[in-house]
Amino acid sequence: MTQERKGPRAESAGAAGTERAEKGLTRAGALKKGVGGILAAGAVGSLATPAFAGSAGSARRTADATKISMWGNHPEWKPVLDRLIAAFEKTHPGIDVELSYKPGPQYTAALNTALAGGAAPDVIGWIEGDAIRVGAKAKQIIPLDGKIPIAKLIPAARAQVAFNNHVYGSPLAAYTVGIFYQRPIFKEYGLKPPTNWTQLLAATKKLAAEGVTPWSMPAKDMIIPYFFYIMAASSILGQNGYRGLRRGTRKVTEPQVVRAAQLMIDLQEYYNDGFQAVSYAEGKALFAQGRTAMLIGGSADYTGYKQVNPKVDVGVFGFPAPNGRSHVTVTGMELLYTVNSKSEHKPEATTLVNWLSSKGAQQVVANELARPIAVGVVPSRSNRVGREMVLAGAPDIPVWYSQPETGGTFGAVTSAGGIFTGDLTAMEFAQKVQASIKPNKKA
Amino acid sequence: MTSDARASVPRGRRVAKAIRRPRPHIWFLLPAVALYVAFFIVPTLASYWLALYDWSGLGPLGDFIGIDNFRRVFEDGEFRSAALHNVWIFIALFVMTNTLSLFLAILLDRKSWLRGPYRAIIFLPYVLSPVVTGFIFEVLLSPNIGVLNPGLEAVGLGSLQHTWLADPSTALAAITVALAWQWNALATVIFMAGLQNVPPEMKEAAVTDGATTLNVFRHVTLPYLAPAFTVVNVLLAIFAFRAFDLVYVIGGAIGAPNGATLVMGTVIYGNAFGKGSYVDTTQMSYAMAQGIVLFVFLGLVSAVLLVYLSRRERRVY
Repeated sequence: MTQERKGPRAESAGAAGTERAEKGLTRAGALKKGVGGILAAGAVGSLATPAFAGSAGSARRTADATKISMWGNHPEWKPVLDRLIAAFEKTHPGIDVELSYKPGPQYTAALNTALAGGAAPDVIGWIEGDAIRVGAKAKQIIPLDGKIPIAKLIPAARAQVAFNNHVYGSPLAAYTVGIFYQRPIFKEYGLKPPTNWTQLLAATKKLAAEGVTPWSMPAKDMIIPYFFYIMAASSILGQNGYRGLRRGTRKVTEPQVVRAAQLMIDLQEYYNDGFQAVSYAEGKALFAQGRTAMLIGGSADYTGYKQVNPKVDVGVFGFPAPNGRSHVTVTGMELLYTVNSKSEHKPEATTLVNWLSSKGAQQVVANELARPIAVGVVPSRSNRVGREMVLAGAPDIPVWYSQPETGGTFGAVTSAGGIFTGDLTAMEFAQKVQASIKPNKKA
Repeated sequence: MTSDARASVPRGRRVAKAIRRPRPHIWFLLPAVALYVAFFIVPTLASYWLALYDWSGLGPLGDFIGIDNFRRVFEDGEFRSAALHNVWIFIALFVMTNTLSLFLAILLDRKSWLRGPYRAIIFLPYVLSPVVTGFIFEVLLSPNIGVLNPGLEAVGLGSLQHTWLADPSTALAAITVALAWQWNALATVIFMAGLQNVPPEMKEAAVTDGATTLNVFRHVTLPYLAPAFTVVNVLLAIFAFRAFDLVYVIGGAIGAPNGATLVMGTVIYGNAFGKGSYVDTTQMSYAMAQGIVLFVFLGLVSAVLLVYLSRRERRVY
């Protein structure tokens, strides 16, 4: 159940491609390949392999150690996670962790493919929300009751990994999403973080007038537009309003909440060129290089900015409410790590999951990666951005997709790219989002 | 045994003898057949059965829902739109293949020491992985790091600059160009192989009889290319309707912008394994139903093309 198993498959796929190219020259051979191709179209799995074949594992190897595999979804965390894993391996010499990465937008598809093919890693990381519950129900992971210090985790983390009277694992970290801004650019043009929508629009227009692209809005995968929308809507709804949305007493189709979608449309001319064809990763790189001034981003993204541009100098503010009464951030959990029920090394995998929630590991998380999930761990004073992020949100609202009632909003927004092509009005967009919400009076 | 002698032996005995005749080659084939059945035929057939259930792909099977998934395929606007994109790609590549690729093949058929290197260059895109081809075109056309727009600017054609992949009216066309670049390689090589089969004496005879170059091409070369046309166009149908990896790399899982670059392969993959977002619910059974519909459709298209073009071949010969 390690990454090495993927190697030969990737190689054989490449060899098959070359062979196909060589043999495609005769009619009989070509037609035989064609018939094979038709048959292959019936098998959904045949579509899967090329996109995710092959990934780099850890370079460390210990001769007699037990090898366990684990995936991450932030390739930009590699330098820090390598150090974290090295620290684990130092204190647990019998365990060799092979950590590989599937970038965020492809992570779920890659994990689902691996689970379907019986090739999931020993330590399975789940995206917050329903996935871990589905995995537990399908007995793809094992309960870790008594093996994880659940009482030492923050409540939001506990809520994700403890359910049905069992504890299944631990998140590595939490993340908070706010608006990152380029401090040198704001300073150069005499701007301060906006405190209401009027100021937000004014700052945007001022930057554009000075020849600066105000916003990175990578919309190829609709991830950033999703966060933009839920933060803008949350800034209108507030904490009580969001609770009302989950309970069914509020709706995103209310005229004042529709303004959130309208804001996305109104700002469209200030997004980066060709933003609809720009991926999340590329949008982040544009911002980190200082080619845009603002970007919706999470605490976990900062490490990535530094990787693209070691001299990056950014600040964070919460999404201002239209009237300036509050600044909203949204918070969720990074991957929820659990132990694969098919793993041949369950004790070792359990040891690693347990260790990830320890104070030592969480201090590294707090100082260098994201928000810690262990109670009592705070970012060091040198982590200015991490501290700013914590202070940016008042209120801090759960990421909408992490809650069962609003879990469907992500799919609704990702399929509503028409808001940027003129195919959907703000109200039609809001109606699509509202249709995906399943209110629960007990929420 | 002569035919008379064979007729004198009763039919039953002939059959029995044929069955008893040792066929050692069958035993050599058996491992390959067993593997093929176990790893291809059985899973494919299993997907037909699983498509009758409501199953996410994770955990135990859901309810048996009969043909509901298949009914849903035909009511699914997204799948229909994606299928139309495949049709568009097929038509565009069909026109290009039977004109440009053929023209290139004719150019490369001329005897020249450059023929070998040119053939290698023309065939190179087919050897590249579609994923790599997708990345190449993304780098060419990207609004931020693309080289096409700066190139246009540099040669004084700045007015033609465009956000090719971000505009719904040009994104699919851009992807089709990428597919065409890759497909043209194989099509040209097959046509070139076909051209080698044209007997030179037939051309010489036609020229001696006073035929013009165009007439020689139309009445001698084209008929001899009939088998090549059959192969190229049947394979093209499969290529166009199964397009996935290259399209996925450029357009992403949701067919950016706003579904303008969705094809059937992307939709099926998205339903089976997730649409590339953080939070995905998969619909494996539904994806299987879509895969089966694609399979049947592609089988029909290929069969129709094969029958029509083969008949044409027979008429020609």
